[in-house]
Amino acid sequence: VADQTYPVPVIRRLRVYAFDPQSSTSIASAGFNVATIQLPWEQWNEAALEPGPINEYLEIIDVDPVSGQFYEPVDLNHPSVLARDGLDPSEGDPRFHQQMVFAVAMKTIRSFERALGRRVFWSGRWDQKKRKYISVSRLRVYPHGLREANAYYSRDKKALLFGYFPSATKDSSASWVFTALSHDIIAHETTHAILDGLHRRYAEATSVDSLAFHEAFSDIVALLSHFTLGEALQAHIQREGGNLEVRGLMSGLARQFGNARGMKGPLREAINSRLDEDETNITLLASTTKPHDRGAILVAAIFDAFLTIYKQRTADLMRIGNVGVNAADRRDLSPDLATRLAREAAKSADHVLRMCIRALDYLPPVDVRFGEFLRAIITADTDLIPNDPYHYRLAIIEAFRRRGILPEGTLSLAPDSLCWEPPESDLALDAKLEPLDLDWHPAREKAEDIAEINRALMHRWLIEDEDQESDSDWQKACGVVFRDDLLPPEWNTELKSVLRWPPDPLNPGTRSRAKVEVHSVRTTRRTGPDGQELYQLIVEVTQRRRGFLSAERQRAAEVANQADREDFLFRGGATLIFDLRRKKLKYAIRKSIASSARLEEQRMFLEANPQFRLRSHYDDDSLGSVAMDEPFAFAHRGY
Amino acid sequence: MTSLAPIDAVTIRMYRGILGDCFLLRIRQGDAEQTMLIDCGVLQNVEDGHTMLEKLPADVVKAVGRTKLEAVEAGKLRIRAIADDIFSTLKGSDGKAKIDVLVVTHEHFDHISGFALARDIWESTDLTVGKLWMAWTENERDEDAISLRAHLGNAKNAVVRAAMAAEVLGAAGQSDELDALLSLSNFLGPIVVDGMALDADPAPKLAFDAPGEADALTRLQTNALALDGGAQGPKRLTTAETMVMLKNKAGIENIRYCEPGEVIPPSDEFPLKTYVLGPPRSVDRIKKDSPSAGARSEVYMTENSQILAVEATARRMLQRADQQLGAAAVSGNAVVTAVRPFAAPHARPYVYGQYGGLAEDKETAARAEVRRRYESDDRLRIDAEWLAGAEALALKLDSDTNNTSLVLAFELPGDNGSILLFPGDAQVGNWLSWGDQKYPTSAPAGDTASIVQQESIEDILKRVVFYKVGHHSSHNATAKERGLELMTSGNLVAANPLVEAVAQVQGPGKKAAGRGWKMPYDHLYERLKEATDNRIVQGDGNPTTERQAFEARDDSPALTYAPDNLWVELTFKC
Repeated sequence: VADQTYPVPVIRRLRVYAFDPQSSTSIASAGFNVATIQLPWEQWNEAALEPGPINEYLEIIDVDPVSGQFYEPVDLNHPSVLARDGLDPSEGDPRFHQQMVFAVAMKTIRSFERALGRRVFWSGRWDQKKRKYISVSRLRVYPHGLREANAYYSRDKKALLFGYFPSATKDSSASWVFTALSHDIIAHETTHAILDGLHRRYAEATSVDSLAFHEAFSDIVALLSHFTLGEALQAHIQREGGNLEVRGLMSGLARQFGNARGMKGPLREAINSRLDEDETNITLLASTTKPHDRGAILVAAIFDAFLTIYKQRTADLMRIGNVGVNAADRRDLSPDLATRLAREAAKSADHVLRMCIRALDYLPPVDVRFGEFLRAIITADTDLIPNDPYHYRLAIIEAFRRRGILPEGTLSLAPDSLCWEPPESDLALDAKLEPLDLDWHPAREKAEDIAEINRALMHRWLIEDEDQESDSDWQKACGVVFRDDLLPPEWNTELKSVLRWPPDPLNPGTRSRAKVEVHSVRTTRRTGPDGQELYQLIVEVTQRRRGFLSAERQRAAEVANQADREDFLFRGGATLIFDLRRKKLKYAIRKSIASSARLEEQRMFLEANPQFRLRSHYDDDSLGSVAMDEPFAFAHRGY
Repeated sequence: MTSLAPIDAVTIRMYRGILGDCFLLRIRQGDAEQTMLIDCGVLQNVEDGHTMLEKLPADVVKAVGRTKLEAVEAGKLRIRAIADDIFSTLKGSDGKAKIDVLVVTHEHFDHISGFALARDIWESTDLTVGKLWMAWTENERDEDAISLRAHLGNAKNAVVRAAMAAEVLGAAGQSDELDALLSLSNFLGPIVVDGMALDADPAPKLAFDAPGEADALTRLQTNALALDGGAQGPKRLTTAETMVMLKNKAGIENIRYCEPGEVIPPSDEFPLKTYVLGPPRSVDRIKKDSPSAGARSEVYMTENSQILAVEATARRMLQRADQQLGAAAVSGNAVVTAVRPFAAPHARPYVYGQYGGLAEDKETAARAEVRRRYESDDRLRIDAEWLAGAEALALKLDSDTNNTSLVLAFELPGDNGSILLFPGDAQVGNWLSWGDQKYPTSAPAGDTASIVQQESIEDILKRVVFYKVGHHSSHNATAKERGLELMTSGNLVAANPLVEAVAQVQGPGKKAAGRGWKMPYDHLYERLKEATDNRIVQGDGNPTTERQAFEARDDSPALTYAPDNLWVELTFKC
């Protein structure tokens, strides 16, 4: 690379197991179980890829504390590695494990960046001494960090830890199972980390939905990335005659892992046998209360929408190819047709994945619900792609409706009534925000610094600056409390205690202000299929309020402004989306801090699920002093 | 002495000053008396207050309270004094004592360690046990019990081994996970009995020969013995061995394995009608506790693979401890060589800060650079993360074992049919299961129509007048809607075997104020105070205040304290 006389390559190709090592040992899938991931080569302004691998996003550290090993890092720039698209897939070489974790995690990161139209950042790490968030530029990845059937994103250490374990069953066809060799597990855990970087409050358990969302979204990303695995996809389509509605490699998640645990199949399955074609069960969501089961419903809904879209997109091809509905007719699919169908399937999956990822910007900053995810998908998609010839949006709505995932307070399920409403008052960015740096910065580190500067500027402008007439409207849009003089009378008694900054006794003019957190200030630039461009600024504003398990204690503590220790944290706030061309507030997606109905819901949720307010078994320390000072200190166990 | 004689009074004696259960029931029938002992245990490793004061940081002492800590007596001594007191209380003029029914609720240290720590008293021929009541889960001839116990036994071994590994590797005090793990393994034993050499005093074996029983027991004992400290160390009696010891004491013909839904009528065996509410037969119920919300209990966790993994990790860690400390002093011979996942060419040994056992010039520049990054920030290292898996398993195991608690409800004679409820340490699943069955009741005299009358759990709970607070009033061992809120007799009193100061310095509470076990759990306790009109006796309660609360109502049972406050007694007149 140092030799400037050669042009720099565009693509780095790395081989990985398409699913996991197990598929290589079965004859049916051995032919396509190696996939090649293509990652963009490092740009001129990006740091070079170092052995590890280590790049601007990730730092793969292959320490294995239990075995007392620190494995040799893989050098992806070594000619012997470069010349063969990365090391050959191998369970027995830790360097291949490093390569695979790196490749799949980077692929996941890139698909987020493509859909979001900006860089992916990790969530900051709270520094107890400095009492602020320190930005984390590289997520650490430990391919052999644990010796157990587990893998997780540690919010505390800002790291992905992958475990390996001796297999308990013959079904897994290996004596050791490495979670770092499972495409699905890598994609799933990476998504946890990305999602945490976007919405740091989503790791807090405020309702069954909020808990399930992190899991479900990570599964959706892992599942839809199956369709980027060309060879496997085509083989599947050929075998099933273009029908994707059969359970198999494509619809199952973490198959080897599931087998190793004696599940005789994948860990999770997206095609839900309980809900077949004709049956609609609009009470399904309402009757499911376990977070994992609810998450599975969301995954199934997205997969269902994907299947509908795929069928829409391929209906003509099926007719041209004269493919009947009977299984027998479907067997001898022409390879050309299979190729075309695979392309359509990949495209459909990519579109659905992008719709889901884009929706993340249109979600409230706290306490997310499935119904809101539906509204976010529809709004984000309508904004970017007004014309919807294949009826993607209807496919999504229909899939959600069939499972009873309905947003609260919408008139109907027509796409236009599902879109977020515009704000009540006309609010605009003003000249004081001129210093906001809204340029696209390809260098990640620079983009990170600028995001922090923008955040501070936004905070000052929105909260701290001298009082203005429009402040009351802004406060309303944000769903939080700014100052004592802005409290509407009906909030006055209850929310007085949110005001944390006491007025200065020496300076009677000063106002008592509330603590407001402004985070995730980010711009996006997205281009739709017909050349439409969206240029938006997104700001998350949140505030916290003490929550008590009994309404009486809540009242006593808040109205009488007692210094009681809270039982849980109740958060409110809004995601503000600005149209940067018109400098206007376009949406304020709000969860009001004053909502007593939501407070009561969270109370009931925590009443029924005490483990989510307790740090561990005997110990409700999450409510203790550590949590009071620093909510992050106890939230780290969330995922 | 016959059960048919009218009952005058029932006295419940709670032994105080221990974080552990020990209840002595005496049923007075004229001049005669029938006795029942429910559990006898104290939490492991409770040192006396002055020793604790030396070790604890100042802010912890301040938060817990110096006087409260000072008042704590070492667990081993206290439980010894309690055993002595039980013996002398029951001793007749002939110098012999008899416990008519011994109830052992579940195999946890804080319920049975007294039997091991004062083994000489319990095994003495001067003390006889009429009947031994245990839960069906302790029956070695029961298929379900065998598989359940094998499963729990494996998990237990893995956890105890992990705790040992962590301890010898010096990870103690470095991570909250470890502190939590160690404090949980305190429930599991093994019990260290000072001055007993292994050879001199072999582990008890079942004295009687029962088909099927020997195999299961041998397996359990082998599992347990594998964890012994070796011939040199003090004899450690495991909790499983303690259970065996008690079975031998009673003799096989005198063991009653109680089944949920069973109603034991008053008889010579025991004069009070007894409802067996739990543990449930359903394994799902037993495994239902409040799941830990930790990162480590995430989606991928499962039980068997979890046990295997913790076991493998712990073995590996013990092996490393052997290497570090030399010889097999730590792990004993039971440790099989743990395998590495990769073949020799890929081996790159690593010890923190020492080029990983590689000579400096042997390490590649690339590895040195990655290692430098890893070692650059201690807070981000993951060396102790393996413990988290063990901790998660320990939590699960602890809850599952609590859920095997034998739950008994005794009916006092009289029109009201008042109930004394002893739930052991039953957790959510066990409580919920009480409603899974109906309880047969005998028809009142002359009523031929309702021979098959059945009682529901609501019928029973609404008559509860005495509640032994489950699991020392932790957050997950008293069901709310399906438990406490159904106890509507209006005349409820409670006994809570708890020493708060001890609970507060367990786990991470050892190092940081306010981070120990939350016992009592405030929300539960507030509700319990309301429900009982503050009539609660607690292991470390103030006798004056407790007496006042009881005396404020004239329908309270009489309260008596030992002169040295070793126990408190509640007397229910019949």
